[in-house]
Amino acid sequence: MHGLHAGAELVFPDRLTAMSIRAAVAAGTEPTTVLGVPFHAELLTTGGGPLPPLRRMVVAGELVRPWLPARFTATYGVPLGTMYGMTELGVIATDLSGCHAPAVAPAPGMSLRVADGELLVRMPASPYIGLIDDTRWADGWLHTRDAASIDQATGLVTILGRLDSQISVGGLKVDLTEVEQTLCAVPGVDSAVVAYDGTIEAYLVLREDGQISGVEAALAEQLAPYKRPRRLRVLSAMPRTATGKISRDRAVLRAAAEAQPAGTP
Amino acid sequence: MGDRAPDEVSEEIGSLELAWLVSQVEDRYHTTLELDDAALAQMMTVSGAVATIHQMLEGAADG
Repeated sequence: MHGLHAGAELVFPDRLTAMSIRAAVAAGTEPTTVLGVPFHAELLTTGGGPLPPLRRMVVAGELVRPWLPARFTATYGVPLGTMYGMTELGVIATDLSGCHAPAVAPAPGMSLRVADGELLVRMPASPYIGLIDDTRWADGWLHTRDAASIDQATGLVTILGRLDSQISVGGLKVDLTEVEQTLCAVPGVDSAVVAYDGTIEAYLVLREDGQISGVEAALAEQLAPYKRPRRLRVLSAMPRTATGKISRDRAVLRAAAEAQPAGTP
Repeated sequence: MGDRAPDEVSEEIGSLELAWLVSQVEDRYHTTLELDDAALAQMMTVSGAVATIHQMLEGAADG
């Protein structure tokens, strides 16, 4: 909105492919900033070269992989900046020139602190309608649910990752608990866990009348494509911890899947 | 997506991986892949994606 007010032109590429984004930039003559998520920056760095109108790219939505800023700059000769924010507040902190990476500097007017490893942002009143959940806003502070550290000398903030079960797929947020609960509720599924190690994977035990094709169809009906597990691995039994809980250890789950007899769906 | 060895890539393709693949193919072959829902449904595995892309590139070459 501020950009529009300042008279900037917003241009949307025809498609979200590297070729189309580059063409959209090259078609203009004014200094241009590309706004997107880290996935878009990664797409753009697999080819391409200097684009005269391009001044910088700024990404938001998830953590940037450590190698990306340097590779982007090597390809286009301009900085890759980052922004950090929340729907409840808008932009919270930025590094528009890429000079603070991986840290960001609080935006004007923002007051931040870290408590028990969680980043809190000062917000005088709860932004939520209805009953106040004090794990989300309490005593004038909004809870980001992000782990962070603040350099006391510079005030720069480094976001370390999520504290809850939310992960990001190309900037789109996925709650792994929601995926797991959806999967467990599918008729034909006896038990399931969802694990994340760069991609969403599910391990499940089928009921006697359960079919993996039916499970896949049910998930397709209930979950958007980016939320669906990339792979459903059927086990004859869920591995359990010493206390009897289903194990969430990714190595244990992987080993259980690999130990399944050939021909297991 | 540019950072894994071939034997680390599974047969199933996730949605982000598919977006990546389409972008790479378009860049490499200087073409636009017009993929409808039916074509996308065939591209959920590596084998399906390779077959669909071959078809589209051959179709584009035939003009």
